Amino acid sequence: MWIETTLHSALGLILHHSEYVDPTLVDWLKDKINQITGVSATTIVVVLGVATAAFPIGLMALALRRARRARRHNR
Amino acid sequence: MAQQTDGKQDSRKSVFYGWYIVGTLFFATFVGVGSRQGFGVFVEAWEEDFGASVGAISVAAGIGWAVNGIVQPFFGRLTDELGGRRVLIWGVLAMGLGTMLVAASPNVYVLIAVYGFVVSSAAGGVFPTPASSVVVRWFQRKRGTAMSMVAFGGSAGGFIMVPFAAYLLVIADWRTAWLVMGAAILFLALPLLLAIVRSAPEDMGLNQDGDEEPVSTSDDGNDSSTSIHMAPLATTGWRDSYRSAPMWQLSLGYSVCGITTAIIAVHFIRWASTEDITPGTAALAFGLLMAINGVGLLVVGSVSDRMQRKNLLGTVYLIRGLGFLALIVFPGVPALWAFAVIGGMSWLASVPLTNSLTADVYGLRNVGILNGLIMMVHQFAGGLAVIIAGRVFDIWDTYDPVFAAAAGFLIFAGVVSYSIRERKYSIRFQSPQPLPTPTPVAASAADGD
Repeated sequence: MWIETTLHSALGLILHHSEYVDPTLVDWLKDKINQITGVSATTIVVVLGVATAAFPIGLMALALRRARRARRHNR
Repeated sequence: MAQQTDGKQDSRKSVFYGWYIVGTLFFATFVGVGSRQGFGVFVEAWEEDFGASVGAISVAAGIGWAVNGIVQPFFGRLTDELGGRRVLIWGVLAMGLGTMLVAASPNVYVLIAVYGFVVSSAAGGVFPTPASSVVVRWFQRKRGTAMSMVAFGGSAGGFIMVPFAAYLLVIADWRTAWLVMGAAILFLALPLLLAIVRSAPEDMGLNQDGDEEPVSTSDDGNDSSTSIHMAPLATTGWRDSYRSAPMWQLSLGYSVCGITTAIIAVHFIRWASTEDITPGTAALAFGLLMAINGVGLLVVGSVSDRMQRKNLLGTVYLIRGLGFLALIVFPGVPALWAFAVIGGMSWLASVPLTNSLTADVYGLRNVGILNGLIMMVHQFAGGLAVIIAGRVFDIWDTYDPVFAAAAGFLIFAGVVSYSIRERKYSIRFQSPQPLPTPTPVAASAADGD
């Protein structure tokens, strides 16, 4: 029985290195986001998706600018 | 783009290239760890779709945890041998493809195989061992700050990627959600890694921390691409590291880290229910813990570059020990909030401190496998502790003995960490001797890799 309990609770491993988020925490987060923003799920997906994509695109742009400057400097 | 033209001269005028590496590894950790943490979001959907029990689905999670621990030394060794760039690129590629493959799972057995073995082992090719092994090669003076920023990617990934996955599930199905997460890894993280990450500053004719001249103690000189500077206990073979005290001290401390975090991660909400605390309140407290953790992580990493890391590491363990004592001493709700605040200050802070100390003491030649071995101990100790804690609760119907033991272990880990002779063994406290300026390589790092 204890092994079953342990396997079940393996799902509860949360956020230390790469363990799995607890479903209760996810539900709570969803409730809070809904309460605070009051927007549709689609809007939230778009906002979070754009936020996620913005970082690598911005970093890539900075790296490109740096490389261009370096090339110009070396000429 | 990151070619030899980004040489030393340019580094005087622009941001040190190592920070671009940190930004890239932050993002790789963000999407990689974040999407893995989203596993729990899909349990109900899989229950319905596969007709499988939570226990069966949990096998994928359990196997994934163990596999991720086992592969850490393997990927660490590969990082030392082949360079972090190759390992990270292949790791992210495999993780992205594996994540997309989860979407095609027809039943729980395929889910176990794909998620438990493919995704979880590929994730070991990204974080923490390969990513941290690259960062320690790029930084020495700001190693703690850089390491904590990369580790912060895991915390941030949990807060952004997990709700993202949860809401994707609301507007689409679970297969679409896994496809989108896989696409984020393949089309955002992978190009960034390909364009930016280089295994070591020497690949670009640069020095650690962006210094104009290398200032570390002399090299062992056997392999110019990987053994850049020599730390006081640097050895040719990684096994030799176990003949010195710091490797045992760091491993012991980190195993206690694994024990105590795994116990809380798995049993926290269950403990809360025994104290008549609602799951929502427990989840809220855990959310607070994670928020404090993010701030604590960055502060500890930065401060560790200005003082002996072992003192911070010991303090982190002792503070966490206080958190466990609070769970025993205080009644239900106050204990919950006390632990959230106290535990949050120390939750992930041990990661950058331990990885940085390993590099400081043992140098860079074997840092990948050494970090991987320490990480494996962390995972195994944590897994064992979860099982034992569950057994103790089944027998005594209380978590008090578990929390008391955890507090005891943490005090022990704190004392062990304080006892590390960092001034004697860390490269940070050795008198610098000039090395010849590294010869710029003719080809780009991409060609070299």
